[in-house]
Amino acid sequence: MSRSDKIEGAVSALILICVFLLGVAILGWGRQAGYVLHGWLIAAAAACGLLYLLRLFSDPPRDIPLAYKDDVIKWGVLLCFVWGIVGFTVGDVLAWQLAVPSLNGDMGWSNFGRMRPVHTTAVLFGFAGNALIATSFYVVQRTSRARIASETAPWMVLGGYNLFVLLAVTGYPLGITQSREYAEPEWYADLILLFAWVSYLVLYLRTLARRAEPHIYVANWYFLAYIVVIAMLHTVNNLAVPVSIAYPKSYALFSGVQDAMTQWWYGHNAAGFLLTSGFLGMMYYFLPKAAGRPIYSYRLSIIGFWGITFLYLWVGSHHLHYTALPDWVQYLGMTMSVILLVPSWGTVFNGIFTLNGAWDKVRTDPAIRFMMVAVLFYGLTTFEGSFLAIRPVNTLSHYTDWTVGHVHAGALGWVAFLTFGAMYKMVPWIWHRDGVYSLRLEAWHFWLALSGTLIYVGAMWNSGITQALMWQTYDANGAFVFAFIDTVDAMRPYFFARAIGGFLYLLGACIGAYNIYRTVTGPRRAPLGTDERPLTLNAGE
Amino acid sequence: MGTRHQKLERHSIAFTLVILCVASLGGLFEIAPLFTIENTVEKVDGMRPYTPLELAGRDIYVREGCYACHSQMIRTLKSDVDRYGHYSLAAESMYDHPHQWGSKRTGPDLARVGGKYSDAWHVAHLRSPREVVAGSVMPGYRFLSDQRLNTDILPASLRANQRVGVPYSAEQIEHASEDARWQADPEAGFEDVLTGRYGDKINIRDFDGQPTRVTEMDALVAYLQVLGTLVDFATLDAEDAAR
Amino acid sequence: MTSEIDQASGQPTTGHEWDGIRELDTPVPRSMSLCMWVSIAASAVLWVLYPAFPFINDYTRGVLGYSSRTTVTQKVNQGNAARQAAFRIFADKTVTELAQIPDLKHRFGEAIGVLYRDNCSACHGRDLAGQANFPNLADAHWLWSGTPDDIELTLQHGINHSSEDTRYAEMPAFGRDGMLEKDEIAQAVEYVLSLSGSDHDTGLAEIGAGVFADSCAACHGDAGTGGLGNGAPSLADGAWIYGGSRDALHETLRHGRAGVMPGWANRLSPEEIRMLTLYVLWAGQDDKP
Ligand code: HEC
Ligand code: HEC
Ligand code: HEC
Ligand code: HEM
Ligand code: HEM
Ligand SMILES: [Ca+2]
Ligand SMILES: [Ca+2]
Ligand SMILES: [Cu+2]
Repeated sequence: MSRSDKIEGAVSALILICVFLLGVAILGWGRQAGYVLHGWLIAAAAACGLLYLLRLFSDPPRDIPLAYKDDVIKWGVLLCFVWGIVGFTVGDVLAWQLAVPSLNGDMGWSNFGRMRPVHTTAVLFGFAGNALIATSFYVVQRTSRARIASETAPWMVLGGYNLFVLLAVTGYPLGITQSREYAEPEWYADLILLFAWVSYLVLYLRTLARRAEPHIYVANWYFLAYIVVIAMLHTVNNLAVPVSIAYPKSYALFSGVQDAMTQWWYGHNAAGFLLTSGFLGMMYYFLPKAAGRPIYSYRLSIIGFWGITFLYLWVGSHHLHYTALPDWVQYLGMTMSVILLVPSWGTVFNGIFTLNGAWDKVRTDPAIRFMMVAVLFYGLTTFEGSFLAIRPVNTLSHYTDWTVGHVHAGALGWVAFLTFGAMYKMVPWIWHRDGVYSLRLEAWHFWLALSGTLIYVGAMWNSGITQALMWQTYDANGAFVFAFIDTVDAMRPYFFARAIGGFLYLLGACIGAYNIYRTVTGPRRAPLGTDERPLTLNAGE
Repeated sequence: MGTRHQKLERHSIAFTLVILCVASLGGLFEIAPLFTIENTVEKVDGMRPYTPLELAGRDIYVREGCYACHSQMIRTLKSDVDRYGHYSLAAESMYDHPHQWGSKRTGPDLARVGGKYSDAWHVAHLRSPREVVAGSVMPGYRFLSDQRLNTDILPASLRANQRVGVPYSAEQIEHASEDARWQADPEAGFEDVLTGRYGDKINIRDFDGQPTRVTEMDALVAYLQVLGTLVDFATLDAEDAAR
Repeated sequence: MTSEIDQASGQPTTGHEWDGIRELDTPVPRSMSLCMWVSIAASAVLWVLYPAFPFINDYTRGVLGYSSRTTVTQKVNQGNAARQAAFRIFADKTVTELAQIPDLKHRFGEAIGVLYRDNCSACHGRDLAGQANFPNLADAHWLWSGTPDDIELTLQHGINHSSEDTRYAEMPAFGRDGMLEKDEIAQAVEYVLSLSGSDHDTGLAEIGAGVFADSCAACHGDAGTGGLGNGAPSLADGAWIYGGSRDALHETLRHGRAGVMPGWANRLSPEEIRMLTLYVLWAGQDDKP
């Protein structure tokens, strides 16, 4: 066992002991049922981790095979699909709750207000986050031609991360939440994410250090950016003072306008660095790989990358137009958002033109079709985003379903389409299968997802703009033409349409999950070629 | 561009550091000055920290995720001001840790809902919105009437708020639990004590229609009834406010 | 590590390769650089015109001197002025005079309806028909006099509200406060049931008449028909706020009632309050018995 392995083992053990003690403190002092349950969960998870470490270090050191470490990726894929199905289902339940409010039930935990963050967390952190962890582990190994730098750390990252997601989504129905959008989990869950995320960064850098290629590939720039920046955002945005160890409750460090700006600095980049930078990393590997074509332009990659990395952090204030946030911040956010369109579309062109010379595959290979449509939706969403960031336009979208439509054009059309496309490629590769179980089912998935997305987004555009216009319509005398409750009535049909679109999307995802399951349990193919393994075990170190 | 960047691409640590620097600028330029530029939070009379009962109500508002459907931010738009009243000031949420401005108006803005309806209406509405307002899509919160309010936690809640900058006095913290119970119980006869501690603008009533119990409904309604009622807009200096 | 020419595009590659992926060295399209510079230039113009960049203790104000707040204040004031002109009639005339003008409903009914739905319908219902605990405004039964002036006064200051000049109208808690015994309450309830012609126990009701005369008539009138201008409703008209069932009446007598109607003087303009007063009157007119 090498020295660095020993250091790593010691650090991991230390972290796990801290987490274990945190869990024990919570379950010992906690005075609220859900919170105590979380204490048990945390302690149990940390204990499992410690036992695993102990076993690893007491066993005689095993030889590490000259192969990529894919077992942890397989778990990532599994978790991605599980959280995906959970998140989509809850999303559709929410959609039905708005259409048929009696579905809220009288139980408290099932209320729209408590369930909504279950959906956003399950899809953003559960589904998209696990997709990113899995694919980033895959990509960094392949593009470095090195095995991931640790045998234990990847499990810590995946395990810690999913513990965080589990604490989050089980907390909200029990009333454990900070109600800060996309940062709802309470301080102890935030702390666990911080540990997992910093481990992720260290692991990533150590793996890159082992790379056999002199240069770092674009996909890894994006993955690095998403890891580094989220570490920063998460830490600053979740600064809070807990009430006491007896209760999960905490109060955010900042208040009012400063809190709002910090929150949307984080909030925009939860979308930005998770759903954009991370997924661009995914795109930059799987799209050219699947199409068998080189990246269209290295120079565009550079402009796109630095443009996005720089500008995204400036635009959070476009979520706060016309609020009590001072005008100067609003104008900065608005202008930077408009400039941002250029690197965003530069990246879209880079993706689409990478398919030049491989357009026939778009017709025959649904996975590539998924990815191509994803890039188009990315273009649509970023265009829409920059447009919505213009103050007068924002008066027509803010507080309405237009924002929700924008979100889901990005979430369903870009994030999830790209994930499905990448998964349909990666799953056969890591499980060593010839291909996906059924191309027909894959195509079914594609068309269901596409029609679901179009129905969803179309409905929300209509409902959002309708509502905003109704809010702002005056008659000739300068009096309002509609009362607020009239707009609630007007949303009804769109709520139904969205619920149906969401159901189609969910159906497609279930078919996709089944297809993946059959692929994984299907027949293996012939042994690996030599280009499917690292050059050496630790070339760079 | 090409060659210098190609050098950077060869050093993962340097690359990471450059990312960090480039990505920090936005926050440095847009967040840090909000703490230093003076007119960011207007100087107005009337704002006071929440009473313990209101704070408890706010915690319930946070717990239930009402922000998912309700904004508490009247924008500087004519149609917002005409419908909901004076545009919201930063000062009005200066004791809100965290803010609940919201990003969606499935239901109406609540920034000035205080005093608009009666306690009884709020209770009836929260318990079963569709029985009171035909066509509402709001969920019901019947259980709030049944759950006793946990007042034990309140001294610790106020202390935590004090740590993050809310000016609660030692006395307010010490008496937080009783203050909450007394505010919901006019029969207890501590109005003078409460107004002494929190000023005249404090509603001392049984909010939930159950005079013998202090429930979560009492707290939530007390919070809703204070929203937007504190600031004295006569003291707002137009020039100071224009920013 | 040598760059080569890609067959399909004719572009050179950068010479690197990662897991089989290569990159072309395609130059950045002109149009893109152009868009970039145009958007930066446009933004720079905005930065000069509008507030934009911060310093430690201040920020650039922009040469236009623009402020969202000043702008909206102006717009709102303009809007108010325009509305005042359009709705001048409501400022110039008293509600009693306004109530005589026949075409106001036709001209302003829709707009007032919006005002009503944004402020009042939560309690009194969209059709003004009221609901449990909130009175019907569309019938001809009034707690107070039902004259235009009186309704206006109610709207301004509310009933049992926290505002200063509110009207107080409390039904005492005869049971809880020990003013009447259980059986007296039961008797009074039967009598009240008899007033509106509901099913009742005639024996008890006869005794109840005495209780009523002693304890209730002062507010509700000798015949229980209200109308004394003290907020106590008629109990004989079959229109109930809290319900006319035996149980509801027991509840009312035991625990009392003090329904709160908010005052609107701080939230709505005098003209708006007058408009709503008329709206209430119009609804009542449709339903003249
Ligand atoms: C699913 C969305 C939704 C959720 C969650 C929700 N509301 Fe509502 N709320 C509405 C809608 C729609 C209306 C307008 C119709 C009505 O009055 O019921 C409304 C109206 C209101 C009103 C009346 C406002 C006015 O000026 O007329 C109040 C007060 C209110 N809600 C408070 C709350 C509180 C407190 C919570 C959380 C405990 C909450 N709401 C949760 C949708 C929601
Ligand atoms: C919080 C609920 C609530 C709202 C909102 C409300 N009301 Fe009322 N209103 C009441 C209650 C309760 C009463 C009866 C008071 C009582 O029982 O003594 C009442 C009484 C009245 C009366 C007196 C009826 C009579 O018989 O004398 C009028 C008129 C009236 N409301 C009109 C309005 C108008 C117009 C609005 C909107 C500007 C409005 N109300 C908003 C609750 C409300
Ligand atoms: C101090 C004056 C007062 C006295 C005495 C009084 N009432 Fe009332 N009563 C009221 C007022 C005011 C209301 C309306 C309360 C409200 O609307 O919130 C009312 C309401 C009621 C109602 C409810 C009507 C409805 O529409 O739901 C009933 C029933 C009633 N009174 C019966 C009685 C009886 C029986 C007695 C005698 C035992 C009595 N009242 C004595 C003032 C009085
Ligand atoms: C150029 C890129 C983009 C810009 C400038 C942009 C801009 C915006 C704007 C202006 C809003 C509305 C804010 C409001 O009025 O409340 C918004 C909301 C949102 N956008 Fe984007 N967007 C971009 C890309 C994306 C992408 C790719 C995603 C990925 C899914 C995304 C996810 C979201 C989310 C989740 C919200 C909702 C935030 C909330 O209110 O909860 N955006 N965006
Ligand atoms: C079956 C598919 C889905 C359905 C039916 C669905 C439905 C919903 C609903 C009903 C809401 C609440 C909107 C509101 O408050 O009015 C919502 C919000 C949200 N969903 Fe989804 N969703 C789906 C998939 C996804 C996916 C895949 C993602 C991300 C990857 C996502 C991200 C979000 C986000 C970020 C919000 C918050 C939006 C905001 O605050 O503006 N959803 N979704
Ligand atoms: Ca958090
Ligand atoms: Ca009570
Ligand atoms: Cu944004």
